[in-house]
Order: sequence, then C-alpha cells, then structure tokens
Amino acid sequence: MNSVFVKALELIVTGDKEVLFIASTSLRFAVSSTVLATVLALPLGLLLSLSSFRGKKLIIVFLNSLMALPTVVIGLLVYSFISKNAPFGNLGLLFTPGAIIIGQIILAFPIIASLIYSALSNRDPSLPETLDTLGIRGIRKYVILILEAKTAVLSALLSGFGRIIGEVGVSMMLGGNIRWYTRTITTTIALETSKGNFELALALGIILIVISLTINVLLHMGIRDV
Amino acid sequence: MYNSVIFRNITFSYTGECVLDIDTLTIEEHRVTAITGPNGSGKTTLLKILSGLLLPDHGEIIFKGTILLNGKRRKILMENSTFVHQTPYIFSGSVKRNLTMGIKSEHTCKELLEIFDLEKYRNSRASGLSGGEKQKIALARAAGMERDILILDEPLAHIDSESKLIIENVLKEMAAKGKTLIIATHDHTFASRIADKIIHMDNGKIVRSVQ
Repeated sequence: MNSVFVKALELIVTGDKEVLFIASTSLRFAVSSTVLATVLALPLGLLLSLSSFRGKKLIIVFLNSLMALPTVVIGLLVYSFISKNAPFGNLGLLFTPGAIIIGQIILAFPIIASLIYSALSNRDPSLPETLDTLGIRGIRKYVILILEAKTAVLSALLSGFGRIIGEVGVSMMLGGNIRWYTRTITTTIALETSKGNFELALALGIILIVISLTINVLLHMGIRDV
Repeated sequence: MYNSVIFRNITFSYTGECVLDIDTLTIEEHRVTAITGPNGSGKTTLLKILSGLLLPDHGEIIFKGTILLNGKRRKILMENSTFVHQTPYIFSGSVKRNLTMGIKSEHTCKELLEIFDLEKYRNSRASGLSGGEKQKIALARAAGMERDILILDEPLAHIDSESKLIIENVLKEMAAKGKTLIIATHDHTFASRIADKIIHMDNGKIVRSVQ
C-alpha cells in the first residue's frame, strides 16, 4: 500500500500530463456548471424568499426532492433527450463536455436554489423594510440582500460545487469517459480502480481532496474579508 | 399649521384579526407627535402604515391635502418619510458603510458621525457595537436621508442614559429645524418632554390625544 501511495504522490509531484489534464478538466466542468447553475438558481431563490404566490410551497417541495436525485437518474434523463434518436439528438451533444455541464447544472440547481431560498428566508425580517425605507430598490436591493446573507449563499454554492466535483454518474453517462476529452477525476478513479491501477486513482483522489479543501478555504477567507 | 398626514377610518388586520382601527388621526407638519400605549396596542402597525411599509385594509390617507390612491400610497409615503425600527437592522461592514447606505454625500456622513458621537467608531464593524451605538447608527442613517417625516419606533429602548441624552438632543434639534417627528414610546416622561402632541393607543384604537 505504501508503494502505491508513493507512486501516486510521484504522479502529482512530477506533474504527470494526464493527471493534470484530468484534474483541470474536472475543475473546468465543475466551475462552469456551478456558475451557470447559480445564475439560474439565484433569481429563483430570491423570488421564493421575497414573494408569496400560489404554488410556492409546491416548488419548494419539488426542489427539496430534486436535491436527493441520484446522479445516474439525471444522466439517464439527459441521455434520453440528447442521444442519437432523441428530440435534441441532432445537436450532437452526447459524449461532449457540453452534455456533462448540462447534467451537472441539473444536479446542482435544486441544491443551490433551495439553500439560497433558506439563507434569504432566515434573514432578519427588518432588512427588506430597512432597504425600502432607505429608498434602496431594484437590482441594488437584491444585491444587498444577497451580500447580507453572503456566508449562507456561499455555503449554498459550495454545496452545489461539492455535489458536482464528486459525482460520477452524470460524467460517465453523458461524457462517456473519453480519454483526453471528457475524462474527469471521478470517472478515472472508477475506471482505474476497476483495472487495478491504484496509483493513478489514488493520485487523483488526493487531488480531488486538495481541490475541495482549497476552494473551501479560499471562499471562507473571501467571506471574512468582504 | 399644515396637516402633514390625515388618517380616516383606517383598519389593518393580521391573519384575520383587526389590530388597528382608527377613525381619524391628524399628524401635523413640523411638529413632534408621540404615540404611547402598552405592547400590542398597535403603535408599530400605525407607524408602518404611516411610513408606507404596510398598506391598510380600508380607509383613506390624505397627505399634504391630497388623497393618496391605493397604487401610489406606498411610494409617496416612502419617498417622504423614513422609519427606524425598535431593533434597527445593522448592515455588515463598518459604521461608515451603514451610513452611506442611505446618504450619498461624504460631508453629511462626516457631520452625522460627529453629531451622533460615532466618529471614533467610523471604521469599526457596526454589528459588534452596543445596542445604544446601533440605535445611534440607525438614527444617523435616517437623519441623513433628509426626508420631511422621521418615524421612530421606541428610539430610547434598551440604551444607556448617555446615548439617550444624545439621541434626545438630536431629536429636539431636528424638531427645531422643522422636521415632522412621529415617535412611538413607552416612556411617558420622554414623550411629554419632546412631543407637541401625545396620542395614547390601546387595543388598536386611539383612546386619548393630548396637545
């Protein structure tokens, strides 16, 4: 086991090209999906927390249910829309980075929207009234509402990012685990472990942990400084 | 004396229960009106309707001689007044950031920091200050808005006597400058010291009005 661990560290320290490519691919997909999912989830979280309308509870229950949706089910659903003979088959998305990002957005969207809704709903009730009385309206009002709940909002983003960076089902089913193209850390770990190639799997496992820790630390340092 | 705001047959209900029922109420311009009454008597609801934060279920609001129509009520009242909560919301960041949320001029901000004895806390984290300092920040923020009507919910609650003195003096100065002040308070001696008119409320109704 020790020699496997040493070889894994060697792959990282010597900057093995494939390891770096796989790690950067994973990071690129996860960051893109988290940003896009946030862009979609933020307005919904704001709408749910600031207004009352018919069907609001239904949307919240639906979002909460989607949070626990297995990644392979999301992969399967998207697959059924983008495979060769499916409605969007002519777009040629299957087994491309685009397909993985679509699946990952669907995976992270309910988590981010639901947690942003919770974060903004738990605010001090006098905050929106204070903004109204100070004449702060429109986009500036929403920006301040988000900034005042920044710790909880960033936690929502981190939860979404965490779910994406660690998923296998979507990347495997929609990306096809194609070498030098759609192969991510998690799909490589699954593949290399099944082949008995523990060094590469372990090296990528270590990188995955380092990425998660670094992003958490950087974001929390950022929150403190805002 | 011009009548700033007149309420006629105003009612307001929370979850079906009527918590405010006012036949008629006149708030005079450039004067200090104190609203007293026990907890749950409807003081805060009345202040929130006056500031446009809440819309009444029924009734008429006349502002400077014009009946406010439903759609424009909130906007007109909000544009002409500012409301300070009993426990004011303090934004994250420095005291200066809290003031500049409502005030654009750097000069006004500096002036208010001095008037409210907050200069030494200028760059301090506002949320870490005492209740009295927070109340002063909220009042300074509201004063800097330069609206005609200043509405305060229990401005002296939970604060030390030194801060009370500063706040009371500032309110007297604002009244002397012709601002219309509407203040809800439990403190009858404070009300009689500062107000031109005292309205006593109970069970959502005005039970007494003393000039």
